[in-house]
Amino acid sequence: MKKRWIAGLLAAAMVLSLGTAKVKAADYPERDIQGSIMWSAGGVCDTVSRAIGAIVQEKLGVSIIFTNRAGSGGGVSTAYVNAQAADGYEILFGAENPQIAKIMGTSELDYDDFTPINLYSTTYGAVSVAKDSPYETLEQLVDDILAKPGKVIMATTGAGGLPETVAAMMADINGTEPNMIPFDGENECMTAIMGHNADYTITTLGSAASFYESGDIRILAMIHNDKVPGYEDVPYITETYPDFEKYLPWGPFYGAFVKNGTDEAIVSKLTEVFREANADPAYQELNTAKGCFPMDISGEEAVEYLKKYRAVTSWLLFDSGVTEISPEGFGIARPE
Amino acid sequence: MAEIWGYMSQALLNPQLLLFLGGGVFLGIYIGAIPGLSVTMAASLLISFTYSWKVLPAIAMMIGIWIGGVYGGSRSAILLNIPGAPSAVATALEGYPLAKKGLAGQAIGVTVVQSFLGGLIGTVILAFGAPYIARFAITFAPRDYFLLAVMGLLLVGSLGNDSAARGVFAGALGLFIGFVGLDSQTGHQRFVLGPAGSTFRTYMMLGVSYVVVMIGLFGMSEALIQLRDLEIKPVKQKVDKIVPGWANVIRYLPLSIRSSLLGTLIGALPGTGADIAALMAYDQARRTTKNPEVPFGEGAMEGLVACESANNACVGGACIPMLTLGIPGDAVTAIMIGAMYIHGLQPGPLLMTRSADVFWFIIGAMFVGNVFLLIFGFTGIRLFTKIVEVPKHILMPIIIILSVVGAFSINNSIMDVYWMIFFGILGYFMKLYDVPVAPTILGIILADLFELNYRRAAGIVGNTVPGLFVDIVTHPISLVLLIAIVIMVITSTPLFQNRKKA
Repeated sequence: MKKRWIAGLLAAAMVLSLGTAKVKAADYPERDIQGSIMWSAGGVCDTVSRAIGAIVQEKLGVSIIFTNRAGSGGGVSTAYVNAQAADGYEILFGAENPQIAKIMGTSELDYDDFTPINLYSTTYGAVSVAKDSPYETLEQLVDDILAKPGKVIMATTGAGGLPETVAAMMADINGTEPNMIPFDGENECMTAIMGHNADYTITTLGSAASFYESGDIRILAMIHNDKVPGYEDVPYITETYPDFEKYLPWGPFYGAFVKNGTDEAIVSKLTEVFREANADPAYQELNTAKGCFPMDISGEEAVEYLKKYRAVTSWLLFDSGVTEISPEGFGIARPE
Repeated sequence: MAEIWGYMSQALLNPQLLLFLGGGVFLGIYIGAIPGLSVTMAASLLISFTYSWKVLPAIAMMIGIWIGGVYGGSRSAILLNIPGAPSAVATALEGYPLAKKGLAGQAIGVTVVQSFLGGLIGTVILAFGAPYIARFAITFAPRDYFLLAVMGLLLVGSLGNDSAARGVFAGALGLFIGFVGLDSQTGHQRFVLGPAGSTFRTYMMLGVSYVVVMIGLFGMSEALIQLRDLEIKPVKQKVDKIVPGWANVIRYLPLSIRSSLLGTLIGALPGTGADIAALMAYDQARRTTKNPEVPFGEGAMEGLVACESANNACVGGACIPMLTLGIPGDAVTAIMIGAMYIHGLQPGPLLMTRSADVFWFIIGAMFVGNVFLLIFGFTGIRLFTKIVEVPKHILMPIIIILSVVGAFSINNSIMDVYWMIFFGILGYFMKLYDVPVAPTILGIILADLFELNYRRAAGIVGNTVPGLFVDIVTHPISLVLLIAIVIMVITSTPLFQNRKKA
């Protein structure tokens, strides 16, 4: 008799909890949302994410409380958000890096474990040197690296960061082998070249933009196959080395994600709000100031984009010998 | 020039800005005093709110919180032996013994005045020397940061007790704790335990927050130790002479200036912040003070003077690379840079020419903010010192609760609480067996600076030790740092100390 009572109570509890779960999705959001940013405060990923987050929170009517969980090419943040409940109250604000985490061995997680809400910004890589650097053109830099293998110092952000990925492209096409020294972030890379502690760096355009404008650094080339709007004076890499065509267009992106298994109603509500936030002129103005370009893709389109990015980049890093872990082992097919 | 004055005086003459600034300082003092709540946290919360505000009020409030917060950390350090922030660790070493003698009021009074002085000196340097210091600061190479970290590790001698072995052990433990987690350069998992995918493992991958360790080793363990002796009556606090007289200020002025200069420079280096500045200034005071009235470690005013003036001077220092180069000098400036972008400004080399009003307003706000600090710093002292007079059987459980709340509020993570309790118990045994806890905090603070820069410095010269040595002796800054280290080591050997006595 007692058992039956307990069973009955349990069943009632389950029904009730099901009911509340439904209600929760409809009422979302009813409390503040936590946002984990993959890179350190003050960087490009941080700034564009906080900016779009600020508009999103006004539209949602609750606050997004941001925490920078930098480290390990984004692996720290993906691990953190993945360990939280899939209830839409933990949003991952990330960059492109997790898409190579598996083959770089930096994390077991990539964006397959998350549902994209919106990819809101994209940008390009830029090869930068100090204003008084002896290198006037990309060709001079490449020739010098080839002449002194392992001697020319390149500032990077460590395994899985954009600088090392582009360095892999250059290793493949130009055969360059710089001495890569990892710093804490792209800002620190810029400091390193300005303080003459590194000879060059390759970062996202956003990190270089304000120093370029003030004349403290020179940008030798954009990692792109066309002129970049607003930077028409800067040569693009296929002008000098047409072989880069096979990798381009390629560039970092910034987006918001939730853990897989999040209620569909919550995902579509967030998707809608992020779409509206993308259209906000204040956001787009900041986007431009940070050397970024509008993107605004979500849903299936974003999933496809992420998959393609992962395939291209993973195989690039594998083929050029940066990593010995084959993308095939993770079911990542070689792009045509 | 008149324009500059106009921009600067906005901080004083515009009532709305004045209100935000003053409110920020007041709030900052209390945020800083609560362990676990940090200025960084407050600033990153604020940035979300301030999106809809205008840019100047937002900056005014942030600067206010920053100035107040850096000072506030000293209050709980003095009264409860729990540093409110890592930059107040050295304050606890001298301040808490003073509180035990019934001099908490005087100790707080001195820290207020010294924080004000430090803040003022830092701001003056920012106003007049920013571009030059910034150019100097960015030339600091990884090898120089490595040498600075080595210098920092030598502080173990100053923070410990008479037993060198115990101090070194505690420092090494700190370094070890600092190494736990994902390697930020390669992503390798180091000393990470627990089954794959578990919350425990994820937590360890992130590394143990040094604030968690600090709250455990200082706060929780202090409460546990005190519970052994419930019978001892709390000391009655003297609160008649809180405001230090002119004679007192002038007597310590040379030390305040030295410490402030050191604090400003360390703050201006993009890789180091207020925590390291305060500890180095404390060490410097201990080495240069010939005859302290009270020995260091038992409540020497010189120790308080040095670390409190240095950590507030650091605020001005950290603004130097932020305002002139757009490079964050620490976590708070990184958030302010983000805030400025959101408000359509371009922090960095262009700020001084394109938005001179904002540049000079920030400097003006820092002057006025420090005056607010002097005013608000003297509020509530009488009430606060009463905390020390609360009977132990009531106070100690409250400290434990505060420690739990503090640890939880860092990341809203219950795991942080478990680790805090673990370090509390560890600290209890350390104290029981006379192992000093401060070197452990020092080790954690320095672990990244020490290790990552060593790897960078070695990498730059092709991973050879002789190469690194040659690189160090052929660069002026590095050579000066190396010589300083050698002198520091030699002067602390028994040989030298005996000769001095003879």
